[in-house]
Amino acid sequence: MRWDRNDGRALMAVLWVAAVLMGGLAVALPIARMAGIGVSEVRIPVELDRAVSAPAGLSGDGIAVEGTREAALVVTDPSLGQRLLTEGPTLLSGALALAVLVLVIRMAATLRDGDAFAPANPRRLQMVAGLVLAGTVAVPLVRALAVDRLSAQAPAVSEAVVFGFGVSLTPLVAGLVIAALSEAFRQGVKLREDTEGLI
Amino acid sequence: MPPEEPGRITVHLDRLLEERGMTVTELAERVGVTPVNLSVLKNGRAKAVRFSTLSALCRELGCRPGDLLDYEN
Repeated sequence: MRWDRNDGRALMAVLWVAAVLMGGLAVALPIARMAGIGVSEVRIPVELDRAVSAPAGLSGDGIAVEGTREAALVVTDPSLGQRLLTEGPTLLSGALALAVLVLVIRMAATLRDGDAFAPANPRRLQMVAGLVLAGTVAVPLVRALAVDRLSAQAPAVSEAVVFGFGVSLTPLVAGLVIAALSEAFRQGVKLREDTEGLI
Repeated sequence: MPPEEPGRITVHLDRLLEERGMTVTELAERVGVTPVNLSVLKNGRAKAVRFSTLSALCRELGCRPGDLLDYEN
């Protein structure tokens, strides 16, 4: 398989569609919900202190249904502050993802033009790695703080909800791999400069 | 090398092509480089030449490296 110009164009099209969807669903929609447009309730995922009970009798032949500790904190008729808290993590995650997509689109443009080792690409990859690593820590932290602030407004809820945040290993490893790739691209750019004008 | 350097390598590819009645495109195909790159070499804008390319040029033009390259102060 050989990468040609049509593959580059197809990649650009897919990335642009992803960027438009990301911009709409993960950025514009949370902003609209923060502004209160069409919002009667807001939700944010939480972890409970105890697992919820599954309906009785859901078992047979060694297979059963159990409750989990995952739930959603629901706020009805939210205030501006409550809307900012619940939609903040989604907006942060969407904004970071959109920034990553914009950088990847710029890199894909150089790939389409047959210039994968364009001088700007190592810096773009470094920025992608930085955004992924920042998001890995920042998004769960912002979500945890939002849950804490929201649940503090209702003592009964506060007792049932677990405060804490964890860093997911997958995006953390992905960020480190992308950082290593940026170094590989930097060396590729240097090699390209060294061999420019070589016949 | 850029012209402002005190000494530079000059390439006599255009003279050799004319003497042998060969075009850049034809020689490029025989040597295995693109016509664009061969034109870069012919016009003195190349920064470096591989020995394999130099060897192929000498083979197809029936010359020695000294016929193709020169050094001028």
